[in-house]
Amino acid sequence: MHTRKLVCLAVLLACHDGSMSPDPVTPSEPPPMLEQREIVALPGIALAPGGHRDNIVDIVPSPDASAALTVDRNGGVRLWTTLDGTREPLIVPIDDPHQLSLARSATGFVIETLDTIGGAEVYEVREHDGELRLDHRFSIPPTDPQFELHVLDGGERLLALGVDHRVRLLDAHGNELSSIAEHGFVPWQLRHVETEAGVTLVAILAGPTRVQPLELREDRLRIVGEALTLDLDRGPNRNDLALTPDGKHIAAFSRRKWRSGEWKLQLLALADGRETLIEGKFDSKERPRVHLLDGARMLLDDGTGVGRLISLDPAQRGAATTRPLPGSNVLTRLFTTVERGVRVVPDGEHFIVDRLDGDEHIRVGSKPAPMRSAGLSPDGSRVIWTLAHGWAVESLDGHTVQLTIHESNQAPLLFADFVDDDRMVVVSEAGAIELLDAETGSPLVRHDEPRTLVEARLARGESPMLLVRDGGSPQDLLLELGSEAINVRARVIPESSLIGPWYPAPTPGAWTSMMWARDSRFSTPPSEQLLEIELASALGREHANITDLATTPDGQRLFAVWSGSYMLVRTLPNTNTSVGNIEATRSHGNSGVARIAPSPKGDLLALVHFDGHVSVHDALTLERRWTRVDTHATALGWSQNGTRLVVAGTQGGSVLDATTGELELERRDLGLHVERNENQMPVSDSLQDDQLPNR
Amino acid sequence: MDRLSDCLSGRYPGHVSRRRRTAKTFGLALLLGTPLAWAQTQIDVYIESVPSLAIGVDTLGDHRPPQLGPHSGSHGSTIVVDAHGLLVVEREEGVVVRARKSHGEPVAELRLAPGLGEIIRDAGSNRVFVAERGGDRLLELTPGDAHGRGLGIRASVEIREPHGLALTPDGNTLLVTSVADHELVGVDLRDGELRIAWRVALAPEPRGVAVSPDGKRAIVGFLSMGAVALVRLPEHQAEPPRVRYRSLEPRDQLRLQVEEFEDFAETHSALVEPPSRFEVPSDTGRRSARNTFAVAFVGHGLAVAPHELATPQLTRKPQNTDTYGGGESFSPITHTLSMLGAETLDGAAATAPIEQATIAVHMPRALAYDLSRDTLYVGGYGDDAVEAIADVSQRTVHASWRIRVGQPDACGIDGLAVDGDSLWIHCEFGRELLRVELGTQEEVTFGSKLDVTRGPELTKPIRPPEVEHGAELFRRAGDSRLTLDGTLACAQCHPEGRSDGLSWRLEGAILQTPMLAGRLVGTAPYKWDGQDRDLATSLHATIGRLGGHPDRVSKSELRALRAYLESLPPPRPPTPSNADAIARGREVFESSEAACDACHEGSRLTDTHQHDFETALAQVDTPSLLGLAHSAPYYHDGSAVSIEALLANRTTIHDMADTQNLTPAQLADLGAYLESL
Repeated sequence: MHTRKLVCLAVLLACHDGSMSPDPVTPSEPPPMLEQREIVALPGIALAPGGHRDNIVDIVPSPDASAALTVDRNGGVRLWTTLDGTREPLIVPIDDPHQLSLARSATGFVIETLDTIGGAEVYEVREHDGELRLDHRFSIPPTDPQFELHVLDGGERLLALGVDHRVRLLDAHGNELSSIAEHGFVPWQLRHVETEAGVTLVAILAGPTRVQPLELREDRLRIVGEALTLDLDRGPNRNDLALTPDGKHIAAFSRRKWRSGEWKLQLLALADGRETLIEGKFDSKERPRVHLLDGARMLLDDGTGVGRLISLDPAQRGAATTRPLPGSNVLTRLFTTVERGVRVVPDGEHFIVDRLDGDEHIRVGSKPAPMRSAGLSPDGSRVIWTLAHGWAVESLDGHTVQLTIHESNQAPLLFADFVDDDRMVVVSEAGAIELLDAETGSPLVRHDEPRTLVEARLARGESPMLLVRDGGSPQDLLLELGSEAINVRARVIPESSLIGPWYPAPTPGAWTSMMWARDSRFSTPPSEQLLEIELASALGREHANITDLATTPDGQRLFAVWSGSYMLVRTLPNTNTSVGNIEATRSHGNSGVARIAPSPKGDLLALVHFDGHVSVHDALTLERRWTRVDTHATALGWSQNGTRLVVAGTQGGSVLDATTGELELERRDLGLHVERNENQMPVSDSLQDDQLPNR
Repeated sequence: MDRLSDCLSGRYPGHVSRRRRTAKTFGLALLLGTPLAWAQTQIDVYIESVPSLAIGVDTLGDHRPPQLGPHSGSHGSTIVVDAHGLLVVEREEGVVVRARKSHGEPVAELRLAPGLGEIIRDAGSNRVFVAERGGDRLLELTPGDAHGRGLGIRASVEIREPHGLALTPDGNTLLVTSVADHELVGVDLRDGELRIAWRVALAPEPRGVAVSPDGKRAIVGFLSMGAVALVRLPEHQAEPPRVRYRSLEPRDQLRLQVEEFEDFAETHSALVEPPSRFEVPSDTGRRSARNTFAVAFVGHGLAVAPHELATPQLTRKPQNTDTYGGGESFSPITHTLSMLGAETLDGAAATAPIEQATIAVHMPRALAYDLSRDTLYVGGYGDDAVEAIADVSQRTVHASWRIRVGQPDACGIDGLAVDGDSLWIHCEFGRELLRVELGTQEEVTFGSKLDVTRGPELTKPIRPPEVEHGAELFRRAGDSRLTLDGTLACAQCHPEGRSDGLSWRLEGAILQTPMLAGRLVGTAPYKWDGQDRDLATSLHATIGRLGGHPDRVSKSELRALRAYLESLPPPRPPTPSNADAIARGREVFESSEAACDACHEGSRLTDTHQHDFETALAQVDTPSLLGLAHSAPYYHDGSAVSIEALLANRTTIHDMADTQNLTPAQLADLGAYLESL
């Protein structure tokens, strides 16, 4: 750390010209532009690993195709320091970028981002004490908005095109080295390639579309030669108008007619303006993505999954060979990038890396972890996640995942939880109920019910019991989880399925739903209508729709109610009414409650709300202690000591401090997932819409 | 349940406030120009359900209610509350009114220059400050007692067109936005003095400002920029403030989709990802944030900024017709609350996390935060609605409710303040205070009635009734005669009669919102192509373009709109920094070489003729150049981002003037002159 501070200080002194730290300005001076830029001698922040939680909608590889930035539908950005799936992506704290570029620098990476109003930020990522840290280099404020910003020379130089149509070359700290602001020179876009010979740079002019070669030599920009006129059938864009990778030609792709397969590629030599025309035809009506692979070939991708490799030798008249393009369809083709012969294609929350000189590709991303339920060990130190086809136990100390995948012929898992310190119970949809050793995961006892199960609930205690609900008949089954066997204790016909399932109270043997069976386990419940009428009357309201209910270990009753607003109601039982005496009420505005789960001690209530959040309340006053949003939460579980709460749902799960709501462990995915597949010609061009960018 | 469903379906009269006359007479205080007796009325206001706000749910705020909130005076308003009652700013009239807490009755007033900005109070020192925007002064007031005795001016300092005010928590520094100079000014308040400590440049059209509870950060909103400024405040005297900008404009875009039913089709807007960078760049569907009048901090150090989101360029397909004014099931302008956390990386505004949600008030211009309820109140200038957003500082989906107070008399909410269990609302048009009894949170039940008292008129208007009426029509939302289904209002694109700085797709061309203030008298014809011979014709045409029914707008209403628009003064130019350069620039402007004044002639700087510039418009009307420093971008299509780019001919228009032979010094002088107009 000391070394780095000294380095920064040295650079600061070397570069200080009085403009690094802005002085207060006097009225009517223009907003400071370069004056705002400075070397930021700040510690930066460590980049934490973490995958995307939504579909990837853009991928920006580094020019050497060894790393990439990805953007998801939420605007989240991840840095992939390798593209072979060997390193987890890093969360970059940039929201909603309008444009990104990435370059590998001598010390790490340089990231440039333009926001949606043309303001630019430039960062560098460096390794420090074994972790990658993000530092801010400089900004260009949106009062000087930019159309484009490109990282050159490993981040040592940046090329900017302003909305004022000025082209500028900046050094690594944002100082202007050179600019082109000629009278009447109005570039709208830039194209550049970096080769060993240097940077080839052109400006795109409009009305008509022309390409103006620029020169970048010894940190000086200048206009060279005459603008070249090109034929385009639509506005200039980065697909149809690009430099060849060798920097010798500008290539313009166009179609003869709209939605026709006839195309032409106009190659203009930048040195002398000589034109080469290559023409061809293919069947698709989709406009292809054009990837200029080198000076001799281009790849056309029309989204069919079959790519055409086309020679740029005019003598061969557009001769083509075909190649599978894994991951390509009419939408993903628009977001595909090819750098140095490496195709990178978004594919849901994954992306595909396809080396064009190879026969296979890899699919890289985080393995999702949709969960059916979750449970905590009695002391809350371990959590078991119920995955669709397996279960995982995770320690809150070591964060190590122990994953067992079911046999492929078994039905998906429905439920898993800790019975006690030593045993776990796992229930499958097909009726298999197993007790497992909590340390090793090895099976201890198994029981098979020949039925399809849809729900399971556990009551711990000296005589732990499991309640399972059959999806096909209105009959619930109560199972005793013995040390030697799992025995059927009772078969119960539930009186109502309207309010919620049978629900185990934390006290062993006490079960609640539409019944108040503290003493008598299966007493006849009151009807839902009776409860609601009584509750409305007790509240002095016209109506009271109960959305869930529960009891605490000391017998208090809790109702989640809609009655003009969403309310929590706590009552104490009496002999006169089913509802009991109202002890406390609390409004929730327009946030309804789907589930109430009292803590084992009965002092806290955990609620799952319909609008996608979880809250914990004081059971006595009903006052909210904390909230946490989890839009996909479906399951709750308490540790027996009441210190921790686990929340699980279709997007993973988390363990929370029950008192504060602080996150103690989060499991949103099961780590990096890499599939290696052979490239195959497609047999169907059907799309999986849910894996496509949202367009 | 019936009441609720009626309320949700719009049948319940929650928005139809019925005034119940319960006039009370109060004793006379030290008033000039106020009646001896005044009426305080109860109005029936019902709580309406509005959609919950999913904002701040993932990354912003905390899981628990905040224990500490923003400090007193963290942002300005038109109302402050002290031990003696309320002090209220009547902006148009240039009056500060001392009013009682009981029902907002006026007891004294202090007359200042018309056109005031905000008022603010430091609870610790009981110092009160007012931005006298029309008088180019920041004033410290002596707040006086409950009877208004002693209300006066204690000190002043010159600041050009001050508007927004915010105090640091220690009360040592007052931040002031200068509209004319595009600046944030730090005023040192120590030793009881007003001394300008620093100035820092901002983007054009700054308005509200707020300071964070730790006193390290400030946030500034703008009318014509899609960002807020995040200002790192100096911790030491020698340290300058640093300004960064955080975009409020979302990355995703709007696209129109046609939904076909059995016998008709309807066009909806839907959010989509922006086009690939390999497609033809286009502004179609991009959303722009505008009109961030008010900003504030809430709990857990979060900042909030309500604003508009406009989609100026949409295309209805396959007809390829304009969408100006909206239609069917989409509106080109919606209202949004942006919530910002602190930057995760020091100095990098891009890393300030932001979340946004649509709110149910029109033209939000007033904010108040209640720490005890962790509730934010947002006041709508256009629809007289107040939306309450519960648990706003917490990571949760926020329950929200709304009241509407604009019936039967229009309000024009321009200020809010929380005082215990009361929410005070200031109405620009009635020049009156409304007091809403909030009660306890448990009592918030949709369809239930709130106790709302409307106080008497605080001061007499100085604008003629016709101008007052025109101002009210200009900001009015919900009037289907003026715009399609009443979804828009004139003041959305022309806040304060100025420009939102956007370029709209309209009648086959891209047309920039013109500045109206100060540019309408003597500049006919109107519209960019000069198609409307006079202002009445132009108003008629604009209402029609917005999907309204101009034939249903009475002549008196059109006259009122015209009177209001013609009453607007031009924007004030920035403080001249170099009078010599401006004088030289004027010479260039009028020289035969540049010949700018060949078209931009006379006191209005227009020849009122049309010229052919080979653009999408057959001809372009010569615009007045008054207030040019505040009306970027330039040209009818907004293609010149700056005056410098315009003079350097780096735009889409190339035939306006031949500046090629001007020297760089002449161009700089000419630019200085143009900015001084």
